[in-house]
Amino acid sequence: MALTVQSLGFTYEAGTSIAAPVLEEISLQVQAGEIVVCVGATGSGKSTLLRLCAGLLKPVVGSVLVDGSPANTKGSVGIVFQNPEAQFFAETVEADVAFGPRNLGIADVESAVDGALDSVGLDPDVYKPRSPFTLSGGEARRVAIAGVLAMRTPYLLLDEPTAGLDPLGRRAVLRSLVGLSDRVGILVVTHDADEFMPIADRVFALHEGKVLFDGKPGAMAERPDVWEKAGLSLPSLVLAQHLARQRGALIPEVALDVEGAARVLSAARGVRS
Amino acid sequence: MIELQQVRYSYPGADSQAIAGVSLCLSPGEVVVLVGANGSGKSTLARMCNGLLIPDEGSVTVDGMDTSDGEAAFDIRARVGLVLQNPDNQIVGTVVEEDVAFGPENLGVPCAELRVRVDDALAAVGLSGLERREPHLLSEGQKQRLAIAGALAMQPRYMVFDESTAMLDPQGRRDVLSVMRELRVAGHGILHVTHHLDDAADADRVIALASGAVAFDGTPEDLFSDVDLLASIGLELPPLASVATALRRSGLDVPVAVADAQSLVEALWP
Amino acid sequence: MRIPRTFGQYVAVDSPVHRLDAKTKMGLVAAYTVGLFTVERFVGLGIAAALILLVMLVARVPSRLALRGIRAVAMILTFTLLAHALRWNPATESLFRLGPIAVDAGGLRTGLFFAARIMLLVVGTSLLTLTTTPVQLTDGLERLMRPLSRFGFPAGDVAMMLTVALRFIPTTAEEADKIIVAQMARGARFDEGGLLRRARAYVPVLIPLFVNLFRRADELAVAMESRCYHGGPGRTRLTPARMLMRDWAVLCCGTAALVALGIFA
Repeated sequence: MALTVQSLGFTYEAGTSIAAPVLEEISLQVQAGEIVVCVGATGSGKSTLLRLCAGLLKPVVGSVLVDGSPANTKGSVGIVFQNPEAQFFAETVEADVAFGPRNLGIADVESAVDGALDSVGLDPDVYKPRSPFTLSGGEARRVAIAGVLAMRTPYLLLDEPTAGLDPLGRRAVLRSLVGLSDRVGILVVTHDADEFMPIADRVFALHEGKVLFDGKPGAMAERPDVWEKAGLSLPSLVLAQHLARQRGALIPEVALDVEGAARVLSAARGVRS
Repeated sequence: MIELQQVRYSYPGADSQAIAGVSLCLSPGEVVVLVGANGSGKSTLARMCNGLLIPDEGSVTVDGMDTSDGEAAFDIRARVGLVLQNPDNQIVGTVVEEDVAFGPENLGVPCAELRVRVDDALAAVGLSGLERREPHLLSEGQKQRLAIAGALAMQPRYMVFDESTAMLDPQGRRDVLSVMRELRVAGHGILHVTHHLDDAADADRVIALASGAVAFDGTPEDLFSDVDLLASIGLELPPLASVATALRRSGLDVPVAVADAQSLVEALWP
Repeated sequence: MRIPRTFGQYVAVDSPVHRLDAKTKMGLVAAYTVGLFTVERFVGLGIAAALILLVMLVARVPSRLALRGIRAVAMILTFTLLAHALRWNPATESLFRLGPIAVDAGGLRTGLFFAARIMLLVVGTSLLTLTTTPVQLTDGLERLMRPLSRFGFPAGDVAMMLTVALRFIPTTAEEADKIIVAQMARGARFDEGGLLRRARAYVPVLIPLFVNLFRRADELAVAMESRCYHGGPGRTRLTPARMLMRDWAVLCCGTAALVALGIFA
């Protein structure tokens, strides 16, 4: 059970006004129950890759298979675009979240809506009657995610899911993703890896339409060259540990989260002095 | 100097006050970062600084001019540039130079001087050469720098940034922040409204707003050391500062308001 | 749903026609329209067509674009022609007869005359938009409307409104695209069912589009006010559109020629 991208290549038709990033020879896999993070600078082809995975674009070369069959927009893959709260249209949260499952003809829409709201940490009874236009940033973002989850898609793709939120909103969204990851295969694309590195099972770096790196976040943290080539800045914690190494500190393995980094740095300091 | 004294404001029809008794000041050449969670009243306060909103009680003065004095409105707005969050929503012109000229055109600046002001403003934000470009063909970061140029063309003394980096990618954000630093060097007073505490680390002063009132006004070091206060107003230490805090707890001497990884490591291994 | 990304059909080349002030061109189009409607003979239309051809050549506008407007009015042209030419079971002699339907020679002549007039009108006016940017047009319009402001007509505001609308067409088109794709990803179908069902499918696109537009308008108002917009007099322009000597010359000669055309042909 996986979302599998095989030797994927894509070119926008000549003559479109969109800047034309080309994807070449992309192969990757998102297993059910894991969080995969794709990092890349603006224009690296991330968003195109996401649209291909969601079946909104058709591959020019290679294939995108969802549990063995080609990706389509009939509910096998859910996609949450950037600033998804800009597509709310219904009078209530309930009606908006129900839009997807209704379109797909899911039998029990009500329980799909309840389940989706629950899984992003919003109490269905409280939120269903509210207007989606009066929610706070983090709530709105999570309702938009629920609107996609309600289609009961086994895979969830997200484009910059925390962009523009305040700290509380960001934390709520991250917590929801971690909570979801035991049931759903998640692919996040972002240009800001800091907050996703600690929750990722796997990371790959995209640059000019090619995969520069694919592996564990810990391994990616050990490769400043990859980050630089991809035009990304290292997460601040990772950078601090690399700089410490340059000053002679003994750091066997770079840590990704705050506790780990604090432990590593204080241990290294103790070792040296 | 921009000076707010005991300012109160409620939006028409709202039950509670958006701003509930705020006093603060901003001098030329100073960077003040205004932090607070969503709904804390940050944006309202930003809009009071150039007289777009007039306080119900208290007063806002810009270099001695009161914003409630209608006669001074244009002087004040020319003196206090405001840059908003979404670059798309503040660009008026159909080509770059036309947009930059919009402010001074409204002020009736003569044609020859307009040209000079537009060229200077575009140079200050690093957009020279794109005069005839259509705004929707710019990157988000470039659009935001265009918005800054539009304010600079009015030759303001103060610049207010209302979450102007929130929608940008890391590169765009770096570019806008570096323009801000250059403005400070050039002697502008800068009020930067944000919910990113990272932006506050190298500010001259930080003001934290919660429910329309000032919860903190002081140095970044003092704010960053008060984790309980931060939690109570819905803000979070940036990862590096959290690490610094943990290191201090284990007895290491590092500054808590670290602006970047370099300064943290330099403090640990001098 | 496709909204044109570039409004109008401006052809960005440099030509003497492009360099004329928008007001000159608007004046000429007005004189041309009046002239065309007072022309009574085919020879007059012929002269008008020759004039248009000349302008097209000087303006270096591809004929494909200049003639594109005709396609849009093809229905009207056909109807005009048929309405004049066809007779139902006439007693008089006719050119051609199929059962009770007959083609009248005089009617056909009139029909052709009117159809040709419409075609010339369409091509002539499209030359204005092909050689003038939308901004120049709105600026010109503002200047022409300025005398009306003495009677309380907000000429400046109207021109600013047009400029802002032009500025936001590409942004709105982009946004519409984004929303359509997002709703498609939520299983919305825009290409299934009858007309009514298809129209209904656009509701989840139009509502957020309008909500966002209103939000945008709000913020734009803040941004414009912050930059001292007041809509009153006293605005200066970075590139003031000025009528030069050659503008006056072209305007006067052109108008005289068109008036003569109207009177004598």
